[in-house]
Amino acid sequence: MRMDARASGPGTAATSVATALMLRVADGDAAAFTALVRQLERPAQALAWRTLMDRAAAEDVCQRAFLRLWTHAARFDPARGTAEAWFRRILVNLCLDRRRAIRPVQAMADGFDMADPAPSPEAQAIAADTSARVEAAMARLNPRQRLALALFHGDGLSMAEIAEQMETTAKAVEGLLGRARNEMRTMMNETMNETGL
Amino acid sequence: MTALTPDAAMAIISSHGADAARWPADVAPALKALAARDAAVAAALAEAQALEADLAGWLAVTPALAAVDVAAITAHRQEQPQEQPQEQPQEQAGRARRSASWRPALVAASLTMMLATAGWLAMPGAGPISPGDQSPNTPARSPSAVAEADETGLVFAQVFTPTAAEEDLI
Repeated sequence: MRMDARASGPGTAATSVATALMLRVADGDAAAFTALVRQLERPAQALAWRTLMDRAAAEDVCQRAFLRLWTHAARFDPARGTAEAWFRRILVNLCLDRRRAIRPVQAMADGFDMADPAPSPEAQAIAADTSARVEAAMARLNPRQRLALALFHGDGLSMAEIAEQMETTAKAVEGLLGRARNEMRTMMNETMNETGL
Repeated sequence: MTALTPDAAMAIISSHGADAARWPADVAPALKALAARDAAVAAALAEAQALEADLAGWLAVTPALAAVDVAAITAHRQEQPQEQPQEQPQEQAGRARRSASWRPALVAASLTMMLATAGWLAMPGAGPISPGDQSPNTPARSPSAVAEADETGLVFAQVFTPTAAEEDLI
């Protein structure tokens, strides 16, 4: 989710379109809310999906996050950051709250079933297989690790920004990302050896 | 340029990835230089690049999820900033005074009720006890105690049982 991450600092809040919409939402402007939802919806869904890896859960979390944005709009303080950053924090919290209710998404061995079974050129087959291995490895990661990877590689957030979103320290995020990448590499190497690729 | 050991360089690659633009600015030049001359660091960097290429493919694909139901959300009432106004000091003082006036009365009433109940329970023969209610372990009451209980019951009945005239009135 690239929700204007670079403009999440307190000083730049006033320049954000989403922040301007958010101030109108706080006054009960439903049209502004609709516009805000359309702006933030896709990146929010992407982040929720990458973190939860469950379609229904991701949809539910997004709906709840926007509901909270609407009902708690009066709490938004533009002096403390952009609407994007504020909303992302709501979403991240809901994703992390939700994670305990979700079982591991897919076993490593099942991951290979996700590749397209139709005959295809070798390059496509390899790409599909790689995608399946990444998907399966991601599914086995801790949701906090998945979230950190999604925020760092997917949304391009800095360590400090991720730390703020996850309510932890930048050092802890570094550790989280390091472990996530190591585990992913190990799992992907294991499956590569198992399949002889 | 900050001196960097291979282990420290590999730790940075592990947490920050292969993109030099995202490494901490104070160690980035040293890390680049080390990767150019240290095989282990170079291998770690290549491995990180491969992992990120795989990750990028996965991150690029997001399944189409159901659109957010805006109407269902805006049907909810928004929380108002002044929904729970602060109580004024004089209101708080008034509430405290009212509370102070009825609390001792409540305590006194409770105590009176407890004493009355305890006293009634302490009376011999108090409460309706049928012969079947007595357990085998209950000691048999002495004849004088039974007589006393009967007498108390009689007095109770005399006081509270309406006369024929009173029955008519009722």
